[in-house]
Amino acid sequence: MTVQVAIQDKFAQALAPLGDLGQAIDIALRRYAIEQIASKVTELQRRDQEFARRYGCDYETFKSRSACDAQFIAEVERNISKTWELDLAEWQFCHEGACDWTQRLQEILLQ
Amino acid sequence: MDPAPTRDFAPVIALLRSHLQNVVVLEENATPQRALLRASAQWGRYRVLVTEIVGTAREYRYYVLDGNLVVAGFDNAADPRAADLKYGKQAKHHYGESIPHLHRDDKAVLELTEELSCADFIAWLEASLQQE
Repeated sequence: MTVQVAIQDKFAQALAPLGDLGQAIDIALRRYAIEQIASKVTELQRRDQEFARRYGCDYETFKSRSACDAQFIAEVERNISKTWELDLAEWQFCHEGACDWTQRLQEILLQ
Repeated sequence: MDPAPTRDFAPVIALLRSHLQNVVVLEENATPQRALLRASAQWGRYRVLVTEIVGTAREYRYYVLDGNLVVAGFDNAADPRAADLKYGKQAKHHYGESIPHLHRDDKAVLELTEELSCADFIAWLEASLQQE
């Protein structure tokens, strides 16, 4: 997919002597995308770990146990949070979202 | 029911703002595969917490709290208690399955429900809980 973007004249003039403008823009955007995505991954992983600390296990363990162990849920509701379902939804987004962005990052890095 | 999963939460937020008080969008976030909305609001003296995730499947949580008490909690999490209620002796074969259900009476009571949209939840709220 190709998208047309207007470049400010000052940048076009500054970059012109350095070579192909299109190539320069591609490199700049690639660097920007990597920086933004890496920042997203870091933030989502931080929140993932916060939930893991709160619930005393990693996401996959909590997801698995909460789906099949009523006793485990009873203990969570008694000792940690009665509204763990809200946390689990947010936790899911952070955990799986970090994987989504990591995959996208790998795609960009391999291009 | 929503006609189809959408990553645009603007209609949900507008719906919350038109029916509830003090609506705060706590988070609107997206990845290449999924989108998240978290919001809080007031319904009279009750605190309402809404979470929706739209991706390959739709996850929802619509909770009504009175202080720390769970007055009502609609969600479609994979809850073994909901599976037990729905499938009886065959429940263990369905653990991990998303099952729409409602928690009431500070989670002492669990009932099975249909899949809920935010509009369904608000209709339930308006019909079931007086604003005090």
